[in-house]
Amino acid sequence: METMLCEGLSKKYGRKTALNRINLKLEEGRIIGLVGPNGSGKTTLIKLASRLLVPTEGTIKICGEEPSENTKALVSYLPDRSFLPDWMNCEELMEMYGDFFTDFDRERALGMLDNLHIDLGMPIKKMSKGTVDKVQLILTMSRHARLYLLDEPIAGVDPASRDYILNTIISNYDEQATVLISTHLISDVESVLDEVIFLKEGEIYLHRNSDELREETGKSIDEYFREVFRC
Amino acid sequence: MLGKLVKYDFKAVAKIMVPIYLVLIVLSAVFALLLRMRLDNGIIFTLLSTALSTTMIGSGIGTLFCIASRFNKGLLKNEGYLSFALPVRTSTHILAKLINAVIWSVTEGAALFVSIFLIVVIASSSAELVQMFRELMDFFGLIDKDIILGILNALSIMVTELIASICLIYAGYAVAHLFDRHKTLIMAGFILTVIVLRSTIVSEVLYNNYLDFLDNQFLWYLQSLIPAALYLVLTWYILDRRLNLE
Repeated sequence: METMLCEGLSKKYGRKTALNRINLKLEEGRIIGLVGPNGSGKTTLIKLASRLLVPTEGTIKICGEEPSENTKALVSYLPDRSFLPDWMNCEELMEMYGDFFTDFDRERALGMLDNLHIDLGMPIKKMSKGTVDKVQLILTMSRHARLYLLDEPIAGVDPASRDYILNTIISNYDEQATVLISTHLISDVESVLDEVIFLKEGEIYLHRNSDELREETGKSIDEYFREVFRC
Repeated sequence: MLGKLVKYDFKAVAKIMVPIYLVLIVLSAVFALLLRMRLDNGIIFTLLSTALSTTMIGSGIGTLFCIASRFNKGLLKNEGYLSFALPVRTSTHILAKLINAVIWSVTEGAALFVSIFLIVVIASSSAELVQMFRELMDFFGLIDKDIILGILNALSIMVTELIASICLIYAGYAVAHLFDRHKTLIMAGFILTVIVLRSTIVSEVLYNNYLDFLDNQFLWYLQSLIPAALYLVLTWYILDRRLNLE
């Protein structure tokens, strides 16, 4: 069964169309890159899948169900900003994740936090931005979710941390799960992608297997992206 | 899930308000001790009086700020990304915020009561306390069942009015969320408009048409609970169907 299915999915903000009747099917066990220039609809698609937005037209289904509190239990979402309560520390956050998400793996989170020598008692507001980004990713990837929605997980992070984040993603998602990564930094992530989706002005420009796309175009995904979206 | 949401909201407010309530109680006790020892003039007493009255007012403002901030920050700012990613219905989120707001409003009232109680008990001499106790007993002796019922009714009306006021603040935030700019102005405008409309409806419709309005407990509840329900429905609709976090 497909993890995510969109049929004629549209989202408008007033007169502006962010997504225009897109059809999309994401199979399980795949790491998929969602790429496109600013304003192409990447974040809107992810928010619709997380039910942070409601579609204007069409449908979106997660594991066969329209987004609801049931599908939120299956989706692990990493927004493109700091979203953790800044008065909490890692210990309290792990307790909170464990309280709300039955698929939260505390041991996995503890292992990753320990690897990075992150102080479990330090409040989020006292951490550097890079450390907060890592804590957010660790909490997101410590769930045994069916669908991981990662919105710009490596934006604003130094190159050394990017490698850590990508390794964390690859080594922590379950084989039956789907990972959707939205990013501008294609060259950094393209080696881990099974598939790639190009979004252009709210429409799907292409959705292809990464290796096939590289073979057909004779270019890396990053090079092909620059060619397609050249200003 | 409701209990868990209330637990985390409660903790968030407790981190700010519990220290303020403790300061209030300590200041009240020291203030009362100075009164008892007749040290009620001089710079220290003046400073302490100012600090105590400021803490009393500040704790009220702080409680109101925390109630409003838990809703705005927890649901409509960056934390909203986490809140709305939890497997919880929107209505449960709103109810949790409301329960937390009522708990902290009552706690604020209790802290002020304890503060005043301490001042009275510590500052008074034993003879004055005995006299006060006797007068209180005489007063309670005069109280019959109707007066007790009247006090309970007044308290329950105050609680329903408190709930309606909190729901109006939530609706104000929700309405302002629909706009990209001037959110504070829009929220203030919405709340003021609703207050004026509600007062007009209460005076024109209820007061003029039901002569027994002031004595009618049911109408008192109704004039708080119907608006509260409308504010909640509006808040739910915006948060569930029109949410668009920045």
